[in-house]
Amino acid sequence: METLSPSIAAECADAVYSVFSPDSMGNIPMPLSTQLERRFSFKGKPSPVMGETGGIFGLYTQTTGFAVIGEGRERHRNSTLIAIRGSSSIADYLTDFDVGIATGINNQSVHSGFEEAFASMRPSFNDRLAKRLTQAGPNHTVHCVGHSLGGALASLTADWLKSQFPVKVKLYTFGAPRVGLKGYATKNTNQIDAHYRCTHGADPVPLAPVWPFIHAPNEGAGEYRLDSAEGINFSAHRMGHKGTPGYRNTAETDDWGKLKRQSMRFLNQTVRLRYEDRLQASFTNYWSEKLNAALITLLKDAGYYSVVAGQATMSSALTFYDRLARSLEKIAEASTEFAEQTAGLLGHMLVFAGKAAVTVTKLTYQFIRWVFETTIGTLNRSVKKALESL
Amino acid sequence: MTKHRATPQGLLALIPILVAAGYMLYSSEVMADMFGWFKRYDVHLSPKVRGRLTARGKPLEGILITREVHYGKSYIDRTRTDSEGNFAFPQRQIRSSLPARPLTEARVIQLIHAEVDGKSYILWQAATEDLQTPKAFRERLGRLDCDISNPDQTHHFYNHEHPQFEHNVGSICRWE
Repeated sequence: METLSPSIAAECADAVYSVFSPDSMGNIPMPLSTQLERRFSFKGKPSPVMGETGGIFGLYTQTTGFAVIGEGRERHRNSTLIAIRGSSSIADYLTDFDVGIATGINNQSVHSGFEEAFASMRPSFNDRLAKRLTQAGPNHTVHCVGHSLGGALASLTADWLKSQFPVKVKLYTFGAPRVGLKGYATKNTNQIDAHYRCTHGADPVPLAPVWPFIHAPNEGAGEYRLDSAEGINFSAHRMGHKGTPGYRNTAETDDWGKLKRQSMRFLNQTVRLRYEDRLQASFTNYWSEKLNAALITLLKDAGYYSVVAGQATMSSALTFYDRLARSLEKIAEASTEFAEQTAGLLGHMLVFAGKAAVTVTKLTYQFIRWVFETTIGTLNRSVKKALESL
Repeated sequence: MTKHRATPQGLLALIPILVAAGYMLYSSEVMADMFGWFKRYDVHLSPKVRGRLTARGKPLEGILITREVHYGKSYIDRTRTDSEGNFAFPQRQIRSSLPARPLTEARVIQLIHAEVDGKSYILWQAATEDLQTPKAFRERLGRLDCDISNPDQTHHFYNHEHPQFEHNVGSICRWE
């Protein structure tokens, strides 16, 4: 079974940005490198797959070239490539505090914005791929590639392909956000034949949306961290070689084994935070993961986890955080120990969000909710800035 | 006399308003500059283009040649070949704030095509992330030797600016 090298996967994710729209003659401006041209043919496709993305407030809807499909040639004829690009027009979906949760493939809960965008592309994918993939044998591999929101859409495409056709599916994402909840991440991990999730240490987009959304595969494990940067730097999200460092540059190798494998399995770890230690927190991927783990630990310690996690699949994020704040208020009231643990979590969240000056005194529902709003707001603003001009 | 005096007085009355307006403009510019919103860059959309269109060596006259460049929006120029099959486009450059935006995945996408008997031939099809036209593009766009009997193919050129990546250009033209 063939795997795309990091350099080829990155070229696909990058090249699809040159397919903003077909020219007046219907030509797709996407000439490919020697290595990619040898493997796939994009000829005979009169236009790219169009996707519809609308602003969350319905202010605008645009239809642009969004994805390209390549057919494997010669000894690669048993493979198909789908490359999807990111878009600024659904940045709002990603950073909306009131994220909706929709039911995707396999009845798993996913981000409603991503699901909507994918749903608009699905009929074109079906038209172009159904015949080819129904006839293909079980050794046929479909490679799904995408950067940013294109990565999220590539994940949904991969799931859909796996549920529709008897083929192997491999997923390659660069700086992709979280797509769904735990059930989705688990299901996605089990079904897809290989998943290469590439990130940069300072790329803010993989931090969003916040928990209960988590990364597939394996709840965040199996990540390929392509640089050693920390903190938040918008330029770290860029796909092209002009970025700092630019995924195109950091993925320029033929061997996945050479790329460092990062495994932040915080989600299943027990993390209890002490209020006095809060200044150790910083606005990094590391702390974002650790805060998630601390929140889950607190809910588990207090016996609230299954109830709260269950609510996540039913509601929008806004109602979810509202209920979460109410639960945490009750937890803090239950004992001094839980009150201290809650204060520890909130204190770290405030430092993470750049509000170190705020001291935690009263653990009321209003205050807890405000801390969540502030933290998520800070995170969303940085992610939105990174995405708005894609 | 009185009429004469009224004008400078009227102007004097305008001064505080002008100062206030100037201050507001200045301060908003400072703000904008702080966030880099108005920062504009020179973006080279296309260098001078010169070429010749033939069919099995014979010049094609009066053929419509279109140059389309996409960078945020579309910039389109058209011309016709002369009796020798020659055509040319001037250099095209813009000032754009697009590169100042954080993380713009913007590409300068250029297409040049000829329409002969209702059929489209691609003379140039390439994209770059660079704001200055790459050297390899400048050199070749200055001498497009295009015979419509040539099959369209992807050419791979040495990338002087970023040697780890190659340039990929779709074209029926040939260069030695």
